Formats: sequence, C-alpha cells, structure tokens
Amino acid sequence: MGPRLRYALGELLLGLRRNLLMTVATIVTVTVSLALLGAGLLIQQQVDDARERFFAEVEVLIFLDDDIGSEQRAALEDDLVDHHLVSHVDYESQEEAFAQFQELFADNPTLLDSVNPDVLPASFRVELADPEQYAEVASAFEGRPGVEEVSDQREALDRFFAILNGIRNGAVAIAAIQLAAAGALIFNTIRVTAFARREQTGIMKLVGATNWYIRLPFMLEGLVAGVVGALLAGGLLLLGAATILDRVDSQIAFLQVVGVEEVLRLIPLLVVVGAVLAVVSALLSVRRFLDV
Amino acid sequence: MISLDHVTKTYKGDIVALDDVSVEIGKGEFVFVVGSSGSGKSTFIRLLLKDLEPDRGEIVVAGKPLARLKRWRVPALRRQIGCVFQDFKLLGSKTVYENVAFALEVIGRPRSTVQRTVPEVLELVGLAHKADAYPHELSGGEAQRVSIARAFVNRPRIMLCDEPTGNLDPTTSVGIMRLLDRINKTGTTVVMATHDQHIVDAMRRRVVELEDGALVRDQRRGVYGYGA
Repeated sequence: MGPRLRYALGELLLGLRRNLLMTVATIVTVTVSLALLGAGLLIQQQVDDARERFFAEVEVLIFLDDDIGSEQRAALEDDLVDHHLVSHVDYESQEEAFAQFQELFADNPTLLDSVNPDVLPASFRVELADPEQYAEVASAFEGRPGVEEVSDQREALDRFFAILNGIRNGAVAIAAIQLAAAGALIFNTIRVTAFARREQTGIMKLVGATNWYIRLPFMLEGLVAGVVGALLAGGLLLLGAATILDRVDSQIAFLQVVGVEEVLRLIPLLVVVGAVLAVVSALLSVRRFLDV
Repeated sequence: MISLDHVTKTYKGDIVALDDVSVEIGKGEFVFVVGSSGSGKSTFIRLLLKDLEPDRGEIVVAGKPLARLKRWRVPALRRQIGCVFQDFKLLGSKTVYENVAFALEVIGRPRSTVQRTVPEVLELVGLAHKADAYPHELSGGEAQRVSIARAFVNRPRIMLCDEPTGNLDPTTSVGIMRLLDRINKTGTTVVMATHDQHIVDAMRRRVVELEDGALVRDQRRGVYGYGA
C-alpha cells in the first residue's frame, strides 16, 4: 500500500469513527431515498411493460345498430379496411357474439337464460397498425350511420395506469426530497470532519500537499455513506421483491410483475446515484470549508 | 530567488497592507523584514506563498512568476519553501517524529525516504532524543526546532519565517537564530519577519524595513533602528 492510500484510509477510519452517529444518520437517509427512487423506477418499468403489452392488443370495437342494412355495413367495412391506420377487420355477427357469450358464461345458466341472441349487438373488431392512434380511428367512425357505439377499452386501462403513475410520481418526489436531505447530511458530516482537521489541512497546504490529496479522505468518507446506503437500499428492494411482489404476482395472473431480476439490474444504478451524490456533496463541503 | 516589483496589496479595498514595494532577494541571502505590528510583514510572507494575490505588481519566487502560476501548480511552489511560524503549528496528536514525517508523507515521499531523512533533520536541530515526545511535552524552543525541522526536511530552497522567536525568551531565541544561520549556510535563502531588535542587531544581516506597508529602508548588514 503506497503512502498516499495509507494516509487516506487512516483518515477515513478516523473520520467515520468521530462522526459515528452522523454517519449512521446519513447512511439511513441515503438508504431510504435510494430505496424510494428504486421503487419509483420499478413502478415505471412495470407501467411501461404493462402498457406495451395491453395496448398492443387493444382493438377498436365498433358496435352496430341492430337495424343496420347489409349495404351500409359493407360500406362501413370497406372504409375500415381502407383506413390507413387499420391493419385487420373482423366482423362479428349477433349470432357469433351470442355463441361467444354462451361459451364465456357456460357455468352460469341464470345469466345465459336472461339473454337472447338479439340483445347482443353485432360488431367490427378492428386491429390497429399502431394502437397509440386509437383516438383517431375511434373518432372517425363514431356517430356514423349504423354505428351504435365505439367502445373505448383504453379508458379503463388509462385509469389503471394513472393510479400507477401517481404512485410512481409520489415515490420519485419523496425520493428527490430525501436525496436532497441526504446530500445536505453528507455536506454537514464532511464539514464536521473538515473542522476537526483544519489544523492538519492548513499544514498540508503549507508543505505543498496537492488539493486532491487533501480532498481524498473527505471524498472517501462521503463515498462510504453513499455506497453503503445504496447497497442497503438494494437489499430493501430485493426483500420487497422477494416477499410482496411474488405474492402479488401469483394473485394477478394476467400481469407479469417486475421481480428480483429487475431489482438486481437496478442496484448498479442506485450505487452510481449514491456515489455521485456523496462525492459531489463532499467536494462542495470541502471547497466551502477548506478552500481546496 | 525572490523578487517583488512594485507590489501593492490592500484588504477590502481600503486597508493598505503593502504599498508599492520592490525588493530583490538573491539565492542564499539572509534577510530580515522588520517593522511594527501591522506594518505588512505577514502580508509580505503570505504573498510569497501565493496564499494571497497582490492587487498590483509582479512577484517572482524560485524563478516562477506567481501571477501566471496555475492553481494546481501552487503545491509544487510550496514544496520549495519551508515555513516557520510564531505559534509552531505542530499537530498535538502526533509525536515529534510524526510531525516531521507528516510533511514528507503528505507530498507522497516513499517510506524509505521518510525513514532516512527525518532522523537526519532531527539530529540537525538537536532533537534526536525527543523523537517520541509529544508537542505538549516540549519547551517553546524545542517546539520551534521541531517546526524548523519540519520546514527543512524536504530541503527547500527558501525558508520563510514569520516571527519565529516571537514566543521565546532571548536565550532560546539565540539558539533558534544559530539554527537558522546554519540552514542559511547550506545555501538556503532565509527570509525572516521579526520585530525582535536584539536579534537583528546581533546578526548584522540585510534588513528590509516596512512602515504602514511602504518600504522605508533596505540595508546590507543592517540593524533594527536608525538610531543605532
């Protein structure tokens, strides 16, 4: 071990010991903030993932008036097929709709008895080239003669995603505040260390130690808090993924929930965020209080 | 080795610490900078360390014009300058040996160099037997010797001493001056700010006198006051 590293590590241990309580508080704050940030990012990933999957399968359902003429229907179908956003059109007659209904509720005879074939409307099931363009297609055919209703499958999904987005935004907002608090705590911890070592730093400057040499132990002290906090945050998220998410996963079969694997991939990012935050706070503090 | 060319330094714009001072100090010279408190002696020394920037004028130290010296080059400049202060500035938690070794360690000198040079320089200042003592166990004169050892251990080309005998009794001061004289005889340029009249008169070296920041006298083999 070179003299440079030996000095830095020795000072690092001294600093950590001197500020034990503050170091613990800093690490806890970093942990909480990064865990929240990680949770926010995981929710985001979940939303993106689910949105992509659901929206890819979104169809425009055009329900037809019962008294629509076959000519009118053919014209509507032609327009649909010709529409540049439409990739495929299926016609479902009243009989077919009823047959599907029967199949779907085969174990519910009371419900089946109450429904006649002519209650269910005929419909076009329209697949879109780009599901994002849903609104344009829907509005083009809404209110056309013979069209009873254009159903919006997305409305329900959007409400679901709005809730998830809200949770994510909340998590990220709290994470941002917590990160600022963590930065301030690191700044302050380093200030205490800088104050305790001001004599020593003064002598180092006089005898010609380089600024980076003087800064190194302070940066390491911040770095330890940042990295340890990030790893603890990763541990919390892993614990959460292994316990809570796995249970949710088995409950909601149609939703593939993010899991341990995604958390593991997130940890390096959390470490980088923690490390950068810590080093920047420490450098600002050293600049402010040691003028190096 | 050191040159000041029409150097002016003011604090907060109106307190004049140095007023249009020009001095040339050659290699190996021993120069007293004298004057009462507040005459600008400490400012003079801090300017040479590039611890302060002058408002006007040019300073050259060890061949380097300080105004054009980049911030990251300042440590290299300071490695050529040893500093001694009135209050010793020793680290209380380190022994005599460690205090001197610290100056070498923090500029990245290898351990073998430290182990060879520190005992040598402690021998030079006459404190080899106190290597393991802590600063609070030393007399004022001994503490100042440690401080000189630390300043000299890296063999600087220049020694800057700011009132090195300010806290010491006359007998002890004589010992310190002998030590500085010996260091000067190795070819090291010594600049010493002081208002200790007896020392200046006894040494008979070059005297530069400051009064309210202005250079009022620059005399070869001078004495403290005009009257003598």
